[in-house]
Amino acid sequence: MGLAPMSVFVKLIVALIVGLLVGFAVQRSRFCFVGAFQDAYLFGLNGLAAAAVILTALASAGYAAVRLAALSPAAGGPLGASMGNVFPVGWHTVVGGLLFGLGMVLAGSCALTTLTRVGEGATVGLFALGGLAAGGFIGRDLAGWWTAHVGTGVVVHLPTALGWPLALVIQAALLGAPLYLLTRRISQSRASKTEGMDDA
Amino acid sequence: MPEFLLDTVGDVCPVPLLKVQKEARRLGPGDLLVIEIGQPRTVRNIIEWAAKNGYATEVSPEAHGMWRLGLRLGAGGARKAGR
Repeated sequence: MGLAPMSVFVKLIVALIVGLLVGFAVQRSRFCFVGAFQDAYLFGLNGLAAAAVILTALASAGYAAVRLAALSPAAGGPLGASMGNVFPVGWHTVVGGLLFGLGMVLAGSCALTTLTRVGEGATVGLFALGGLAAGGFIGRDLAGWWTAHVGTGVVVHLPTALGWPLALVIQAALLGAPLYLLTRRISQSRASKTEGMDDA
Repeated sequence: MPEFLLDTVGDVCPVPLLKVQKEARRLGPGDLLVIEIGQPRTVRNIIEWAAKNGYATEVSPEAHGMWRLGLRLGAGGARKAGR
């Protein structure tokens, strides 16, 4: 495709604008990855969880579009030859997920909402932000050793194993099922609310 | 008609609603639970939870980034909402 290389200055401006837009959307929509799971599990409030599933579906479609555009013969690559940044799955995936989840619950926010909460003026968020920055710097230097020695195993990439059409159908089904269950509960609770109003 | 006060300012994410859930059980008809909140996310969370569980809410901004939310039993009484 050959996008013209951007100067560092233009890149920074673009990053700033996109960052401001994302931050505004996250703050106004109260979107929160931790909240999505917490609210559904603890309180039976499924709105955010449904939003997280929709977000993953949009990201999947975007990923497919970018990969297919980058891999098309016109872009100089054989279709399906590369998969981008996909890492092996293994016991380390589970351990990493548990540690990440524990950190999110202790901080009360994920990386994304830590930033918006600091912006809102929550001083608790500053501790999380400090830990996030420290972890990021350490991770940057250790990532090479880590992926070479610990993060080994099988790479699971459905489009490589099954081809893009089948992989996209499976992805849609995997996301569609929970989305149906989550939103069915939402519409049920809406329905029972209206019933309650009729009684009054 | 007793009035209860619940301060959630400074609590992180699920804690305010967990506290509200516990305190709301004590409410009888006409009682008022006043909740002090320091996070917009918490305000909307409580409103959503209240609507689902049969409580009426009323929000008033206190200062920049501070809200007061009044919680009462709704006309139909508390609903035992299943998960």
